[in-house]
Amino acid sequence: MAQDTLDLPLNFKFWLNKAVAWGQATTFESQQDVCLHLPQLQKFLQQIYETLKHMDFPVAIQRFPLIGQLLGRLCWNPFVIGYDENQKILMWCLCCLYCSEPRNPIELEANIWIRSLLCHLLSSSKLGPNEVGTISQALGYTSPDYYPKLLKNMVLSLVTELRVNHLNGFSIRKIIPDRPVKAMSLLCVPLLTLPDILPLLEALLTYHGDEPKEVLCSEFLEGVNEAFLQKKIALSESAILSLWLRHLPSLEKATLNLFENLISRHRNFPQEMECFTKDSLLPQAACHPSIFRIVDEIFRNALLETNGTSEVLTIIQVFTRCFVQAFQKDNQQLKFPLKSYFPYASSSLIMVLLQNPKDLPIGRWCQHLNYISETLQKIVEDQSIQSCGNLFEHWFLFIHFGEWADIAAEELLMLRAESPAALLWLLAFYYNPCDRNQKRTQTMVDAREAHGCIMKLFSRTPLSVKDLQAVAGESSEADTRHPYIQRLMRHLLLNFLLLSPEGHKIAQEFITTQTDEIANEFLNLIAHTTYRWRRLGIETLRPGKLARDLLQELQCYRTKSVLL
Amino acid sequence: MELLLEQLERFAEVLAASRTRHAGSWGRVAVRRSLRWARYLRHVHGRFRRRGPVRAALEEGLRGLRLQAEAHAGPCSASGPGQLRSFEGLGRADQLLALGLLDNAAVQGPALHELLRHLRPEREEPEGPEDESGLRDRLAELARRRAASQLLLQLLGPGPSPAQAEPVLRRTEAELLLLRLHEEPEVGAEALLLDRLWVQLPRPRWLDVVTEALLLQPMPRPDRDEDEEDPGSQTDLGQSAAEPLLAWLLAHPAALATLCRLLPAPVLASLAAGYSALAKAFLDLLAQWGSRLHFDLIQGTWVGTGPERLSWERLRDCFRCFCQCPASLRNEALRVLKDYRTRDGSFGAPGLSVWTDLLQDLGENEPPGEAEAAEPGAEMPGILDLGCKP
Repeated sequence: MAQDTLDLPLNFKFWLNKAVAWGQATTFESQQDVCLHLPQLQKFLQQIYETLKHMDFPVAIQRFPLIGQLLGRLCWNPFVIGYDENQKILMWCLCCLYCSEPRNPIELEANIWIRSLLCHLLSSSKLGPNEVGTISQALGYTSPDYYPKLLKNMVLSLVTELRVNHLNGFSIRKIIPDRPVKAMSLLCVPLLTLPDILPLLEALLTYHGDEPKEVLCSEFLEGVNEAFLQKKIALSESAILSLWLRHLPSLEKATLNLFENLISRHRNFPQEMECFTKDSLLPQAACHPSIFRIVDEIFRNALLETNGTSEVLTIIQVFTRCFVQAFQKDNQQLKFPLKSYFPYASSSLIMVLLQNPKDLPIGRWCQHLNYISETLQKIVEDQSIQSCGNLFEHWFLFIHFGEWADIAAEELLMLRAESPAALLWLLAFYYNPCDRNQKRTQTMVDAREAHGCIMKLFSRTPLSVKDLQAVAGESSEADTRHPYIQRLMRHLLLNFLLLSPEGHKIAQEFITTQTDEIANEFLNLIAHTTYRWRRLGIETLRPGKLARDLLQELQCYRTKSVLL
Repeated sequence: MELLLEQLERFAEVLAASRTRHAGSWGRVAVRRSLRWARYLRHVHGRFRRRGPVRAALEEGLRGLRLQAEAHAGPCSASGPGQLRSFEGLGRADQLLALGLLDNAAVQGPALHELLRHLRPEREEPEGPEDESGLRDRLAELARRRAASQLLLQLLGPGPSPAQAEPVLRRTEAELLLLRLHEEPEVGAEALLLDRLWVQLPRPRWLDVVTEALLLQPMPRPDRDEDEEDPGSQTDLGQSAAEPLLAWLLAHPAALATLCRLLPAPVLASLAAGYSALAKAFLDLLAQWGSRLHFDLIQGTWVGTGPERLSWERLRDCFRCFCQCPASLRNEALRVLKDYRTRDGSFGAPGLSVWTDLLQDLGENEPPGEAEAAEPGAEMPGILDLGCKP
């Protein structure tokens, strides 16, 4: 393909051939071909301009004898001119070639030609496609007055037509057959980012033919999704829902895009994560169960492939929180039972997990956690005779509402739990769902021991980093505990650091002695804990400020160490 | 403020000159300066568009300038394309200037080269790169919108001038017409402008646009620059701007008659339903023309004789459409028909009075005691029933 090589003359030939073949792009096939090549063409034009800008006309003509033919043909192709920044770059190219003081008839001719092409592009001399310019001109208006209005009215007319057609969808006679709708969607491809045509895009996206077959062309659907993901257009929720429902690749791409952005940019900033997630409109669209199930499927794969990394867990939890908000807001008119979102999980478990901690008095959190733990235990014990897949489904559901696991860890350290065993079981299940019965007994023994060790730290003054390292198992030669138990232990330890005054004093020192990976895990936990406190409105009861300071110090420290 | 108004005045002159052959003598420096000036006025527009008093003063200044220009050069001197006519125009001053120069074949060589240099990205501009790129970007956007209209035009139907495109084009021109009337500097100027357009433009098309403008629903004034919301211009541009149009039409019998003759009956009825003064005028005309129809005994039909060549079918269609309108218009139309029928002697037999036959056609022929006399004859309508006077 042309862009694979940096050989400009070779590319030049390729694009000139294309321009000749396209003509003014009158057939559906040539239009499709233009649309396919538009992004590459823009890159090529940029390249040409970068070369031309250092040349005067004679040198340019020597280097590219057919430049006039290429530019002229492209300027007459509305697909090319309508796309993104093509028209701008073509204008720059033409401006480069203009001779300030023409020395021979060729340069004189070229100047006249350049001017006529520019006038054609901006149509200041000839308004409108037909002879309609006369009236506008007689009124004293020029193209900047005319085209925005014309375009608005064209869009309005087409939108009305589509809507009428849609309403008449079941009547015998349709105004527009599906083929022109397809052609319409293709013609919109170069114009996607032009704000004037947004109403047309939305009308097309919500338009359905009477056949199950897709009436919009895939170039259009992909293009709209791409422009939306790059934030070049702002679509309404209903339009984007319609796009994702009718075009699965777009939904997958949107979900992966969310993943990439959350992981690469917003990892340690839960508030940003939440804003970005909401802006993606995915949680809102997920109020439609079909969308939710597909997004959830992608989450499930990510979780399995990464073996449950904390980043993926966090993303699932943030997404679920946004989804629940949208669902509850939406559900006044709606429509779908919760079971349609989580078809494999028990309804009673869905209901208890869905309980927002904010809506419960703090004193009843432990009771609620006990209830979650009991419900899950019952299911897991039943699991012994059922398949492992079903166990996974319940764990996967619990993961969505991981906030309850965080609260369990906190309650364990604050000694508010009447039966710490139930909460420890919940935490152990969160970190290691796959244990068989016998192994789970061992896990519970380990978990209890870890909890006991940490609780003892409360009475130790002064506390040293060494004490913490001993508990974390770093002083012994090889920590034989299972990695899941180590993660559980770190979760509890972090809560200790935040909640005990002694622990807080040495928190930074301790965390900076950890490996990068573990330090990151701590940082992530602190960020999410402080954000949770703030969200639940319990910050004043907790050493929230201390935690925030710690977070800030650690972030500074890490930035410095990365720079060094 | 005075200084600003003076600059406004100068710039309006520069802009007007940019489209004349005088601009042929401009060199690089003149082009550069005029563009800088345009940028400055764009800046003024951006700064004051939300400030009522300054904006009002500038608008007043512009109105004064136009009156002054008209006093010098005759009415409608500011009617040429790309002139500075309104405060909103200041926001596009640089675009108007650039397009004016580009369009002007007298501007050549270094002067045009200078203009084109301003359209390239790498030009160094010490005093405000944003404004510079602003002009470039807005021109590119214009080219993009033009291409978009070309593409969408294909969707409005097949062929080079698709059928569905016509209403869209007409509506656009109607909006511009209303805008233009709104921009006129003083009461009375609108009539002069409309007189000129009546003479200058092809008739049927122009009257279509006038009709469309009268039928446009009152709408919020469309924004001149979509990217710049302009709260000061959110006045209604519907009925109020249509008023001078209506007044002009009522004062021009020839225009009214052409409308009445050429407009499709349903459109004529919509106009009449919207404006009672027009309803009266149309009904008067139709009555007047209808009275000139005579009954052709051989063919058994009503035929037109007047210069307007009004046919029976056309007359019938118009009254049918009027009768489908809201009650007031329907009643008025029926009243006219009945008055004329009475004037003709209230004959009940067909073929004697065009009004009786029209009422019969509309199903409204119920003069008391005449029902039995109103039986239509087959081939030869009741011309022999002359004795049936009530």
